[in-house]
Amino acid sequence: MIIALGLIAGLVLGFIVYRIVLQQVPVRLMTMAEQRLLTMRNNAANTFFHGRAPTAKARQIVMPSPDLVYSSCVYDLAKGPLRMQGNLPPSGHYWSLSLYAHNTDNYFVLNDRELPDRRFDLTLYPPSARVAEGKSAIKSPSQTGIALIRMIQRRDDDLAMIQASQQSTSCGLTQV
Amino acid sequence: MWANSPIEVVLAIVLALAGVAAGALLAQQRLRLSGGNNPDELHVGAWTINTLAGSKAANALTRARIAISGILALDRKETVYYFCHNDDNGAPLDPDADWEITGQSFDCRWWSFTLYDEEFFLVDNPARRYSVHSDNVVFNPDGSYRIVISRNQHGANWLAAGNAKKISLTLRLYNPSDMVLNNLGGVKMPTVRRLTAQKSAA
Repeated sequence: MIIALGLIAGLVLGFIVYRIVLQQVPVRLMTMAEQRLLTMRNNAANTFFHGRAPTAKARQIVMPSPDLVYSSCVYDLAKGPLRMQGNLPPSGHYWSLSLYAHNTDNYFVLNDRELPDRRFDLTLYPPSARVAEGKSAIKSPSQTGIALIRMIQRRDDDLAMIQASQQSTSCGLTQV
Repeated sequence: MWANSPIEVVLAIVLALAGVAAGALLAQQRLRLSGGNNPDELHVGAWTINTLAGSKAANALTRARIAISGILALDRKETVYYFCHNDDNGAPLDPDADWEITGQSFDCRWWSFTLYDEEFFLVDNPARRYSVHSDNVVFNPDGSYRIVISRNQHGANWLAAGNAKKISLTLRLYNPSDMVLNNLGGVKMPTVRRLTAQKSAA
């Protein structure tokens, strides 16, 4: 009897361990990604860090696209909502803002085709906030996460307009 | 009540612990990036696409695999990712050999092939040839393209393998058309073939 119990316990524990490992891998890797990005910017959360197109020296986040210029913000909504705003590059140039939860889910994406006035202004709310969601009011599934802006740099000449967009882009905690 | 001998108790504990170890090993095996069945994945020739990469609807295995090899992936409506670790015959991409990718353009706003090293970072190379994309690719007169992966310089459509120990290829389709989105496994994917034999170790 006890051997049968041991067998059943083994099967149940094995399934539980399997599920826990799969669930914890993304969370742990996201924590590492957030920490690596924060280290690059003196642990400043809730601030956009504007980068350049990645090279082989970029070894913080796996599989960077060498054709994209990234601006990233590690957010922490413990002290309230985060407002993000800025101008897009001229029409025809790819731009997107994507938001990632602490389990790595890409829960929101906005691209330049959805913003004909070439400007974005949205507020990111903590999971517990009571807010009507829309294109300018988003509720994060987790307290922490990453906001990522991507712009395609087709050629060297594109850098000036990309930098102009980056300089206009900012985020900061705001009042509810 | 049953009386259990010490041997039976020990055996029961061993079985329970074996289950824990088996669960951990199974997870480790499933997290390998190629092979195994994942209902979220499609295989098209040498290419694998995870249809729910980045999505809230992804299963736990997809979420974990993408976190390892491509964390911060975009949802497929924004970008579709195809991964290639092996050639058309199933042989792993060996950075000591030269490889040929041939195909046609894709129905999307912009596309790009990028080569990654054994740690899924860009391959270090003096020429900084990390990608071939829809703006810099040189097409053949018939509209097709031929891209070569090699450690050595190889013309305009060259992806540099540098000194990478392992290589893999990622194709990104930005803002894919509805036709692509509705039939991710039906996209005509490029062929991946070995051009040279593996160089023998000195």
